[in-house]
Amino acid sequence: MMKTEGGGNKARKHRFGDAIFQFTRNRLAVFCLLVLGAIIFCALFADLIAPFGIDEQQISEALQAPSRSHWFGTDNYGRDIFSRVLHGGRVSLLVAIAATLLSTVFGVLFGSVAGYYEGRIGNLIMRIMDIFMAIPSLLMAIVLAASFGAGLNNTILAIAISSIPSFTRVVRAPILAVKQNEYMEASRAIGARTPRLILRHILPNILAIVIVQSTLGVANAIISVASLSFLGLGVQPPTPEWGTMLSAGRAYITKCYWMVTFPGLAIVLSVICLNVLGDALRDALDPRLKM
Amino acid sequence: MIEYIIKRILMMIPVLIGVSLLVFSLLHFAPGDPARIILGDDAPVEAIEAKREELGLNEPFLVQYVKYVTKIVTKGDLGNSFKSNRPVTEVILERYPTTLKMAGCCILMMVVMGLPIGIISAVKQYSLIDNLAVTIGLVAVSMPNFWLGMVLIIIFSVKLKWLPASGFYGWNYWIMPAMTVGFSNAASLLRTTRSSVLECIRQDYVVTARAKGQKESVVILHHVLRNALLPILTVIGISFGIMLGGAIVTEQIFSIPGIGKLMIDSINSRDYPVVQGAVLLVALSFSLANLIVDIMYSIIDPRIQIKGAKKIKGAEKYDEN
Repeated sequence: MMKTEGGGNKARKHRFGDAIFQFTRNRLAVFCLLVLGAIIFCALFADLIAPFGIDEQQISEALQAPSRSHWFGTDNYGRDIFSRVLHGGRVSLLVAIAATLLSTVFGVLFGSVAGYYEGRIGNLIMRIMDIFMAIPSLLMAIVLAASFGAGLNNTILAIAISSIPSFTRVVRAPILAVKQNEYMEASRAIGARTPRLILRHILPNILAIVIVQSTLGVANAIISVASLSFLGLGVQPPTPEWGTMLSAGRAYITKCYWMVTFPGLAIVLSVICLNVLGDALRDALDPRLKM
Repeated sequence: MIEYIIKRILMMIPVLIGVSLLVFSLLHFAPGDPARIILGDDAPVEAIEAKREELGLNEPFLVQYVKYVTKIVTKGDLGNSFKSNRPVTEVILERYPTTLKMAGCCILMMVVMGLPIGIISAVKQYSLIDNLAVTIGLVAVSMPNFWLGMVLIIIFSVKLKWLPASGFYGWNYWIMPAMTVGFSNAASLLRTTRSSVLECIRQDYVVTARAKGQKESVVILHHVLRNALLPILTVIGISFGIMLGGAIVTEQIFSIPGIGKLMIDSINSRDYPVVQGAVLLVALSFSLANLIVDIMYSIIDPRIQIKGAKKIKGAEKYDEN
């Protein structure tokens, strides 16, 4: 948690500049941003960085412990785990980011409508969200994945839908509050129409909370993707994904600890970075939200 | 108060009907023909058609749904399992005690680990203990708990050979699953307790209590903790609600015959009536847990107008098993 003492005068001039200034003062968050950048870089350029291909099987070298030639060891097919973790990051992050983007877009849309039009439409939306929220979100994702069938796109869809309700709620609450402000009334009094009210006054007010929620949302989505794949309902082998790698490693847990250790560490590292980043963004963008 | 509770219970009915419709339609349109699942892939077409007729699968979707709900309401009948042909209620109730015991153990673990450390961490802010607790808390909430389960198996079963890796027979089988689920939940309780206590500890009434010469333990337990209790209670309540639905992935890892494992096994064998029944039961438990938390708010803090019983800040970051 960072301390919020006074900042430089220049940075204070602008809210955005101030937020960046506050953020950069949080060394842990900056460090996590760099680590996350490195993870994304490795995932993007996995083809160039990985010493072996994802399906390059060398049965003679199966189940080898970490060594100089195979940093993270090899799996039961003799595939290099380091290379697969790098490639797996591409899939895990892609699914998590895509699912969060989808749930953010729909969450903001539903939340704004439910908050702005409080009447019948708003009520209907919130009652539907209540139904979705009566089931814990991981279970919701599991049921959705079971219904849609396994696979990359269906996993994205299942996780996205299961996270929309919490986004909707988070967005709706501040909109209800913003609507009560006098500047909204003033703006309306001088003839501003609904689109202008939403774009000029409402969206800037919820931007901070949306950014923070999506950052934390990606962290949760990474865990959800891994859980679904681990249960065999998400991304399917042989596609390398951190959850499927953990699932495959489970059978060899007594002999080959490295098969489950390294994909798991990749998940933990990414999620820690995103959580720290989310907390820091919350502190920097809107100190009122500080937990 | 009683009026409020009755109103809240009545409000649960449309939500549960909604959940049943949602789950029924999702699984209705899921891949796979139930008749073929029951009879197997080699069954002749005529037999499959006869089975479809027997199960009422040829009727329109809405008719099937209304029949399903009517049976639940009038007879408490959730249908029969495709796999074992036993009543779903029986199959679920057989597994539920295990899940309840598990949830009890995990909640105990969560409160014993999370609450005291959270309080100490806030009281001694920025001390070594606090920094350590915050770091461990951050790592623990960022860890998928099924991975933690596997790491525990590697350490305690494979390397040290202290604890059994799977099954659910004696007390020693409970330790690792409870730790797996309890640890990450304890971490989120720790974080919530810490921030909630920190918020209260700087209030004027705490200064007053100290100025009166009150003992520090009384100040913390009586003045601070009582006021910081609401977010803490929310996290415990929500976690318990989620745990009642079974620690889905954890049960899978340790082969615990609870409701979570039942659900995944049933999804894998396309035994949809069992999945539907189990999800309904989870939704019911989850809603009841939320209701109890809301009622407890007003008992702990009479200032809270129960009408607008609101969700307390701090629970939103909560993740499940």
